[in-house]
Amino acid sequence: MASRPQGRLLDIEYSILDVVAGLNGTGHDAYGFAIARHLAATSIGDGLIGHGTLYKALSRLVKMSLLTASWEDASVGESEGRPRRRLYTITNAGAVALATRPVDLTATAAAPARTALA
Amino acid sequence: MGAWVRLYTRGLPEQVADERIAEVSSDLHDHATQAQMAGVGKARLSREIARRLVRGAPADLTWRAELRGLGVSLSSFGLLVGVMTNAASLLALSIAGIARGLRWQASQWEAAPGMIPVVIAATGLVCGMIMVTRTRSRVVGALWILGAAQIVVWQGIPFLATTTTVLEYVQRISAWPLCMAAIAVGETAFLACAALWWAPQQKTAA
Repeated sequence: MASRPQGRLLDIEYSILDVVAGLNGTGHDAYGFAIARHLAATSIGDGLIGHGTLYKALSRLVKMSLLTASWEDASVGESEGRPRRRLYTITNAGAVALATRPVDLTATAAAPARTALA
Repeated sequence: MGAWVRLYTRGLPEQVADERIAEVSSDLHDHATQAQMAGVGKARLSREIARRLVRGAPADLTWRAELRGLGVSLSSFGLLVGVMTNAASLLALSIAGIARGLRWQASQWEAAPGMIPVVIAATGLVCGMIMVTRTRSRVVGALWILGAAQIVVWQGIPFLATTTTVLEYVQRISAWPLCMAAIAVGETAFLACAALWWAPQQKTAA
């Protein structure tokens, strides 16, 4: 099983960065299911992304310091009768990675994500 | 879904496992809530969740492998996935054979010929798959699957054919025995190589 070069992002990771940036920019919380739902509205594919694919990618982006993750206050979830969410925020490095992504990916993956969040 | 998350996070650092379990639980809750609001039925929701699970399962497994420091032995991990996939395919074939056998039995009022070896093979495959998941019994597990695979190839496939018109067709194929022999040799080579590959690791783990 070959591993890809360190630091190189996959299409899906660029798309996740784009969705998180969009959610952060519009004042919405960026958490797992919200990201999955917005990704589903892009050209990534049919239906919602697999749990494993999403959370592995998120974990890698956090490890690369392109995103930060923090658990929301437990009282917020409790008051809404749901488990607490893990919230993601794009970092400056993430924004730079997004801005400097390869051109072909910009056209295919990111643009629809931005449109979906608009 | 919950069982799957607990399975692939088993043995990982407690905090990492707890966080993944909590995050997926939250996702499932949000998914169910959104489905309810959209008027999506329970059956469709279950299908969607199952599809997400299946789609993400390879990533779950590689994520686990990376966390357990298996990055240098991903080929071994790939072999494990290969052996498990192979065994699962044979098991599916055996179960299909058993199901056909039971239908045949119900209509003929007697035991379907060749049914017992297929049941033995299915049991052997399940045992082998369990053994293969543990480092210490991995070699025995591979050999166990090898034995069961031979039964499936020589008894299971013809048994499947006896209940359909396929039998008449395949009997006319002159190369049929050769095909069976090729599959049996391929299974033997693959599983024996897997056992040999894992043998030194098992010695280290012991």
